[in-house]
Amino acid sequence: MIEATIDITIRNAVGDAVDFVIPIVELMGAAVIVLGVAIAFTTYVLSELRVRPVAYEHVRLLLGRFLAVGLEFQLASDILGTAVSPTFNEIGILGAIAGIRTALNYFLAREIEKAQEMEKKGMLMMPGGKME
Amino acid sequence: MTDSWLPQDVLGIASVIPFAIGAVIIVVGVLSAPRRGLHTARAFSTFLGLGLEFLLAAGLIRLASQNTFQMLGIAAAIIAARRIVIIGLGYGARAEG
Repeated sequence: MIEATIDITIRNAVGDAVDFVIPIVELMGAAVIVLGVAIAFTTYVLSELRVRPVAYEHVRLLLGRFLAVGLEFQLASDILGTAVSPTFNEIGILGAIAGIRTALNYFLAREIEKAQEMEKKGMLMMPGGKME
Repeated sequence: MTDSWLPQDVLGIASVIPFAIGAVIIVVGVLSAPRRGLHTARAFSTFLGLGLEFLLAAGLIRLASQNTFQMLGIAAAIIAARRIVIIGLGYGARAEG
């Protein structure tokens, strides 16, 4: 009886702790994306002003990497959610969201690879219209 | 899943900024392309790709605050649009040699 009570108390404590951590992880993901937007936009503006010209694909790649990291954080929060979700219905919803997010991450990674290939072949466009 | 204590207003405002940046990049980029001597079709896909990246960032920030299937659908649609633009960019580059 006492053991069962301790078990339930521990489960509740862990559940509460995970419920508290999930939004923090989601907020971290959003913060990474916001930081990426700020850095990519600064790079774009400096490039357009010819202060530090870079190819447009460089800016895309830069932001794409931040988006991939931010998406990983959001996926982590979904995984944490599955650890405490008590019903099959909630686990099903979380699983679907995690699946779609994983697909988004996969396509993002492929696009980054593709852009890197284009960068190697010198097929990137610079602000003046020249090819890098 | 949507009843999180995340600051919804802050994330909502944070998602508007990349959305506006993306829209401005697409409009300004495409309108200024002929003046700058850029090939219009190539410039269109380049700026559209860059602008869509910022729009995707806006979608992902909104996804953190509103964890719904609708938001996931929007993010997935932007990814699909970007994919089409990148395929178009590849064809355009090959056509130009």
